[in-house]
Amino acid sequence: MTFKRVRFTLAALLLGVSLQAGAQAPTPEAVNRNYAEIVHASYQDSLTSALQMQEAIQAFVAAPSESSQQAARQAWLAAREWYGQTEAYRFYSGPIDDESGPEGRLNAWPLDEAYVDYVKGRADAGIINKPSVTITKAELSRLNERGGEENIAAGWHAIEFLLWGQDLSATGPGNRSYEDFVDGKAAHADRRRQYLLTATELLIDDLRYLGRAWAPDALSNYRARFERGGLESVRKIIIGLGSLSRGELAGERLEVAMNTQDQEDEHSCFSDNTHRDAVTNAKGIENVWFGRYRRLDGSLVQGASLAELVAAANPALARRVGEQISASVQAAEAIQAPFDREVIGSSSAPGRLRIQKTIDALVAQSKGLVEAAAAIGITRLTLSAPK
Amino acid sequence: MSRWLLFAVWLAAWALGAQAQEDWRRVAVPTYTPAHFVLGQVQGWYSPRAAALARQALNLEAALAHGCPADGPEEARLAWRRSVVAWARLSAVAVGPLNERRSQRRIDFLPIRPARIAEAVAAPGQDLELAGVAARGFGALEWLLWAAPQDAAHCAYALRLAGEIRAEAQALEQAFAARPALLQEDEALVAAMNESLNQWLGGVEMLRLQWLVKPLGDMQQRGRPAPLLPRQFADQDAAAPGAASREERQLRWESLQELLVGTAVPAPGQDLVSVATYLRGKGLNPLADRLLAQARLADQALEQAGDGPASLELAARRLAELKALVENEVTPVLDIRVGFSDADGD
Repeated sequence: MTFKRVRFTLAALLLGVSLQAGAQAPTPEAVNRNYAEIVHASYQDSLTSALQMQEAIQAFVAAPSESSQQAARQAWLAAREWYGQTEAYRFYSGPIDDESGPEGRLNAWPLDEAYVDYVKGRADAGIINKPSVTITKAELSRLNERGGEENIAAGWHAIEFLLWGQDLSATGPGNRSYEDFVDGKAAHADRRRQYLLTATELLIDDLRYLGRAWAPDALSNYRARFERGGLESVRKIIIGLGSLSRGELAGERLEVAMNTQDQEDEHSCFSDNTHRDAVTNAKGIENVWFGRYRRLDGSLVQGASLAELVAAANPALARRVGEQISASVQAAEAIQAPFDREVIGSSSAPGRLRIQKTIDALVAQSKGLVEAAAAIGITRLTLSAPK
Repeated sequence: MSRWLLFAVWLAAWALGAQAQEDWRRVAVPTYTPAHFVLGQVQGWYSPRAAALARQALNLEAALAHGCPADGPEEARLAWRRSVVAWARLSAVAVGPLNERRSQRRIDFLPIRPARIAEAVAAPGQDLELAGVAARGFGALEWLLWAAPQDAAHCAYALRLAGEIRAEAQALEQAFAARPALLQEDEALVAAMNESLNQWLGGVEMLRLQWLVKPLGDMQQRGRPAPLLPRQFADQDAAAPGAASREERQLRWESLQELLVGTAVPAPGQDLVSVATYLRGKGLNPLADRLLAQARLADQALEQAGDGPASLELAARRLAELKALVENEVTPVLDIRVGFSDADGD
């Protein structure tokens, strides 16, 4: 038995014990409170890691070199580990993606590289090469998604593109030279530096905004209302989990790329970090279901969980859904980098089989979540609120 | 089951006090079960449409095999349009094999990527799967027939795509024909009924987003004089600009409408039982009437949807209202669990 199998089996056993022993059902309010605690903690961790990334980017921009560029790239990769887990809080018009939510400015993709900077064959493309455009946070925000879905000017993937450049390699990530940021070595190096700093500041502003929306002890922020929401808030939690599982992660991020076999459909295509995006998204779902989250500093947030709420109504179902969710994380962990090679081949290619296994596990868990919702009296898992 | 036996079943239902009516004050509507609903859909609606698609796809392949490039693209274009009509009529609500086989992604992925098609044309021996779905299916074929050079290499690739569409259409025809045998147990029937309503909701959302909301947003953002609809290459036909997309949008809506509020009152186990008729069979006439009224509003709005933003916005709003009514009021009374679909996410 492999280590992963042992870990999975142990987790399932522990869950089984806790679900059987937990005869006293948590209230929806308790589940909502613990969920809010996890959401806040994970946005805080995402902010902390993004601030570390900002430091590395500032150091790179101040003195561009191969080593400072590599440090900035590593900091981006490290920060993505924390942001990816927060995507389980989307899809129910919460602070991240209600009408004024920053999601489209934080994590929109795919990104048309030529909207931001030069690309192969178009040396003068992009905002960076248009001196008439002033590079400010307000301007990047205004230009984001302007004139087309792929006109992405801000967020994780704009920063990723500036750090790595176009991925023109079949076997590795993008290979932008640090000299792109050195005056006299590349056109508009000063604007490129300014763009990278500004996009990073904007991303941090947005993460701070999300942290405030979920901050504890505020009388009128989103969290205060959410915690009072009873079963309707539980419904939102499940909508987030199911939508990320099925339509977004299994569908848009994995299945579309499998079907097109095209790098254009790879989520973090410049850095070749898509395999980790899948894992952290699946992990975010697992955090919420089990009501526990391991923080950046190693501490554990843990409390009343959806798993326990469902187990009080149907222990076998809760156990099955928990196993499905853990199986998805395990399947995602098996996807190998680079993802853009993993998707290539006939349907029996090993990489495609690994991705397909993840898709199947995610689809199965989305169905399990519908059953779980029904077990606690929720039958409509759509965005429109029940009348 | 023989005709006489079916007639006897119908008579029995009648005798047991069929309660609701097509115009429910005059025509008796029998009480239907999930089996009548599900098998009526498969046998009376999906199977004939899958067979029609298979026939049209065969014609499309033949047109490309015989006439391309020598006779020009006209015959193949016509065959493509007929095939797309059959496809739209079948796939507006993707249940059973359509869903399990991921048929839409296999043969109708949009948007296409001309650069990938060009690569595939230049690699005639390559496994078609490696071209990726953005270089295959109806969309890619449309680009080949309307926007690409009509030479031997492009024709050869177009023929391969038509062959793939034909194979998928035949697989669907066979799968729908075999489906009733898989729907014998109560559990399977209830699951199929759940799938039907859930996929209807997904289908109406796809129609709203892909055929109304996105083109409208794109038109406004880019300052286009008219919306760029999904069949943008066939829409460039000088004789009838925009007709291909508008026709397909209407056909997709008609399929959704028929499944939801089709007014036929079949004998149990024979033909399509729409959701509204099913509700009437349960005596839920006021709700069925509201569903019909809301569907008529959507129908009018879609029929009048032109190039103006206001008409597109109204059609999108009417579809959203209809979807909300089905989600919030119809599914609870039918004990349907509304879950997740491919339409979720962003």
